[in-house]
Amino acid sequence: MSTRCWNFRHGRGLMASSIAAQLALATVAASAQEEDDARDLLKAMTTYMAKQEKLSFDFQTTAEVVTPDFEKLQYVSSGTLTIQRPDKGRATRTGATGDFEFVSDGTSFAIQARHLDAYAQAEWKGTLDDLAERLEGAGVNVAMSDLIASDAFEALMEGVTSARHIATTVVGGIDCDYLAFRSSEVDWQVWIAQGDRPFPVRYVITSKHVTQAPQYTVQISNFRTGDEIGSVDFNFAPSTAKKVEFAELGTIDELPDQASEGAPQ
Amino acid sequence: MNWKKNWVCGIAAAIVAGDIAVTDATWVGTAAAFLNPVNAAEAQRRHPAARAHYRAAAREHYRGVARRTARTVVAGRAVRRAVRTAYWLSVLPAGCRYVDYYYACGNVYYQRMDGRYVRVILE
Repeated sequence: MSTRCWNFRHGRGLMASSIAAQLALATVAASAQEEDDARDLLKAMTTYMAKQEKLSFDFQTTAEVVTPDFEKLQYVSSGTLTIQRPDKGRATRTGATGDFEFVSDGTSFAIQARHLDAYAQAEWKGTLDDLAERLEGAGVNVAMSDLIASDAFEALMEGVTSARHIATTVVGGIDCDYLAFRSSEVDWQVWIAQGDRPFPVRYVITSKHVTQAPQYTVQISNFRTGDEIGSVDFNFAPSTAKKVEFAELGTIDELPDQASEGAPQ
Repeated sequence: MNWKKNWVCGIAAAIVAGDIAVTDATWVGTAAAFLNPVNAAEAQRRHPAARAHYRAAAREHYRGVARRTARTVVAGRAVRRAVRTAYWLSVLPAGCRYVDYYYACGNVYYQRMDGRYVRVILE
């Protein structure tokens, strides 16, 4: 009896251990699967975006700030972006700081501040990636470059410590894969359209070390590529606007002056 | 030199991005110093087509601002890859600064790992 009891108990213990081990292995396998899947899906999206010679979309961005009184504010901007690789682009952005148009025709770069009826223009030759790099060299972040740069995958994955495919869901009527990534400074999430056109639909960056963890959100709609876009005039035509120096356009950022980028609190 | 700075301020609008984030408060200050509010106001008055109803956002003091890129950024420069070298130090030389996850000692960067400082090359 005692032997049977011992065997039974022992057997039950072994069985429990075995089940626990199998569960642990299954969890590890599932986690590894999720991680691989997330990277693959992100790779597919960035490769698809980089391959599009011509693409266009509407966007809405939300940039959160936290005031000294711990009030969280959201600066929302709306606009459009059309690019033709390697060097042409036209974008509009309307928000709390103004109504802007940005144009690169391959030989020059211009900004028009419609709310001031003024514009500034300078010679520029180089790819859109070069332009982004030059801006970043000057200490300026080019936010949507995360999604459309030709080396977006490598740039995004640098420093990533966790990558997960959270779910499939629907954003703006589009079936999406929902991915979440973590790095030392920020956590970020991206919703990618399912199917043969894996474009980003929504993108959220969380500054987790900043008080109240403000987020930056980009939501994309009306995504088109190639012939769907039709002909686009990348030449800058300021009409009656007054030509001024770039600095005279005032704040061209989507946040009003006084932005000190999220230092840890 | 000024035109270069102004130009950089201008292209900060980022045709690639449609919108941007300024990471360097000094840069903002420098840009602001070039601003001439009188000129801007004149531009608005001289052009009746300008949006009369447009209300500029009030200036706010910020305790914190959401970062607008997930890419690794060191001193305003996006980093594609940080390659760790075999060279390391137990103690950093004097004058090194902590900059966006890395320690900048002049033009040389170190990353703290396992209680020591490993030299990294930022690409």
